[in-house]
Amino acid sequence: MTPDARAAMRAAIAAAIGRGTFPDAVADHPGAFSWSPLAAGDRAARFRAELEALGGTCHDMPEPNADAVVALLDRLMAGRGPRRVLVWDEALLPVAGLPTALVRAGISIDTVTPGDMDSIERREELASATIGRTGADAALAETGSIVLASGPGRARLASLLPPIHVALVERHRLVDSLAALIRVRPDLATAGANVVCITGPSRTADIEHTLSRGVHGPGEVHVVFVG
Amino acid sequence: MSAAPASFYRRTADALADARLRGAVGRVTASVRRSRQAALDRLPDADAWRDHARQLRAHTIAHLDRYLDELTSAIEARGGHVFYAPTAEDAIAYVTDLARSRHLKTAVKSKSMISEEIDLNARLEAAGVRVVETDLGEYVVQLAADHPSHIVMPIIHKTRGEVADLFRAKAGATDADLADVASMTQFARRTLRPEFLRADLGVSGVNFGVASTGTLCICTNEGNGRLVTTLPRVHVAMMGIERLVPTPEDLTVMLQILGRSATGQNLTVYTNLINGPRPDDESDGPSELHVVLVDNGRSRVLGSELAEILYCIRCGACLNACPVYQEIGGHAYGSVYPGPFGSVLTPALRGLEAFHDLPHASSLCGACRDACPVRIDIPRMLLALRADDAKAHHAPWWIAAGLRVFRWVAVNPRRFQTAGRLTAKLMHATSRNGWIRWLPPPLSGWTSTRDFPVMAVESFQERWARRSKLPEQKPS
Repeated sequence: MTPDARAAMRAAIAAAIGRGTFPDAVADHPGAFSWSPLAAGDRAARFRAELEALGGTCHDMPEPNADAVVALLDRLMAGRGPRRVLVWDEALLPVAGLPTALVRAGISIDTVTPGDMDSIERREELASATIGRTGADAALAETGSIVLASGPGRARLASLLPPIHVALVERHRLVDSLAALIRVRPDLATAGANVVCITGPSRTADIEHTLSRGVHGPGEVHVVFVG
Repeated sequence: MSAAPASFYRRTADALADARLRGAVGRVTASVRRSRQAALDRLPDADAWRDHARQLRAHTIAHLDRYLDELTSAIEARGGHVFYAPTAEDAIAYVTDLARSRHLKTAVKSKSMISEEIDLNARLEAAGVRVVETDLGEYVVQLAADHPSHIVMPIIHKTRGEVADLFRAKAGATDADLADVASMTQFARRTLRPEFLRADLGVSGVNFGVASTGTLCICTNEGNGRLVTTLPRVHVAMMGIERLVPTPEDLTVMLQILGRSATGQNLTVYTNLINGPRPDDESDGPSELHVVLVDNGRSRVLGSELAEILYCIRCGACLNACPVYQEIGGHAYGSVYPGPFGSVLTPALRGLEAFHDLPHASSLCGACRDACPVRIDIPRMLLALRADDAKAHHAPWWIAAGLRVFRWVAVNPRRFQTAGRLTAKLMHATSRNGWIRWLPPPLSGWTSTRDFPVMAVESFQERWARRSKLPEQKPS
């Protein structure tokens, strides 16, 4: 916006509010809201209950185990489409050795790289993956949600294009709620050009208020807690 | 927004005569009301969250110039472009010029009421851009060349059979595609997926802009909002100038109540935060982000007695709660924004002249105010608009004349008693079994659909006078 345009906007709004130039400090901000926290022991059970109520699935993996992850992917993609996963950079995931285990199982791996957005053929190829496999920056017990920030090696499309989304999350990333998360980690809201809070599978109830899953995003969401 | 059709009463009569429409709207709004209540019951301190959210909205609107300035700086610092559009025409010109200069051919859109308000689709099409609505409900609306009848559930007025017929006639669906709602949803996914992959322009609305960080929050359930803001190389976000919150933490307060109030969900499935265009080291996302701040009458409302309507976060709870909306649906209002909040917002933005009927489309029962997550006093503003309307003499002459007579009678106790006694006698003379079946116009408006009960022969005052003459009863 040019300085002139901005000055015009400010003047128009200030005149409408009925005062001159705006003050330096905002005096009457209502401040922070204080809520009652969840009981500490309830988080894992609450997360599972909330996600399952939405039609998502919660898995526990006490020890990181690449073969167990691949066995899960293998089972999920059976009969669902090409044996291809669209993934985040392995270095960002809490389970080591996944690429080798995937190749051993005959599952091909695809990643989004800068420049891919310029080609329609490449986009279509990316959209052909059956599973998107990502990490997550946080999990929210109150709503059964996972929070994913975009970044290098952390493509948005991995949690968006394939019909099945599998997210691997370290257990210590489980917190009470979105409000609790942002209060402790306000930086997370701007950690990437895109930060998404995903609460269950894609859904719609537009037609006769009948619930239907997987309309544009993944119809299946699996959250694997590691550790 | 298109111009208000001739008669609100005509449209209401049509809607009331449509049993199928009333059935559909009544069923769905009842179900969403239950979901909303259950969701708020699950949230500890729900009322306190709502009070806090209201304070945040009031504060933001009172300092809107400052927060718009902050938002603009923050978005520009991230490499996004911001345009302030005083009018709908300014907003349209910005987007169509952008499409022309960037050679954009196909736009995918996620649900945006502001683009309905300024009728952006038609103008983009006229500028040579193919526009595809991608929210399932909005896609159906576009295929049917219809308008949304609810701000959250655009096709609440359509049956599954009507949608199936449209998909067959306009989108080439087969019987197998239309077997049930799940198959129809998958048909929409398959049909729209190639559009997402090929489009070069993504147009979205904005639920909240965060002033301190320049973050745009876009809430969707289907995932189309994410596709629209990730795949095309240019993303245009359209937002009303009032849709701001000061900080990310304030945003989380609004999100606690938005989904719960709108659909009874704890959070919408995709609560999407956009922080500028794609940086060089990220692999996907648009290379350009343009944020269009649409005023279109809002700043005029800011300093008025209707400013509170700008607190609205577009959850649609007041529509679902409103006994009038439940009966007539959204189209009868003749405005992009139906229901109680629309009956304030539409005249506020577009003038009372063309929409003077809307403030009367309410029984003032207050259900909208009770349902509103930020407790907007809609009935107060409906009354203020009715007063303005009366001053502008939009009421039929006989209402004004009748009220003048009533006032003359009511200000004097003796006249009031005499009139009451005469009316009661007249009623008894013309009634049968305590009910009056027929009254002359304009009172026939009542008796054409229901009987009128007769007044008691003895008035309250007469009974009171008689009672006070009785010997005083001793407390037992």
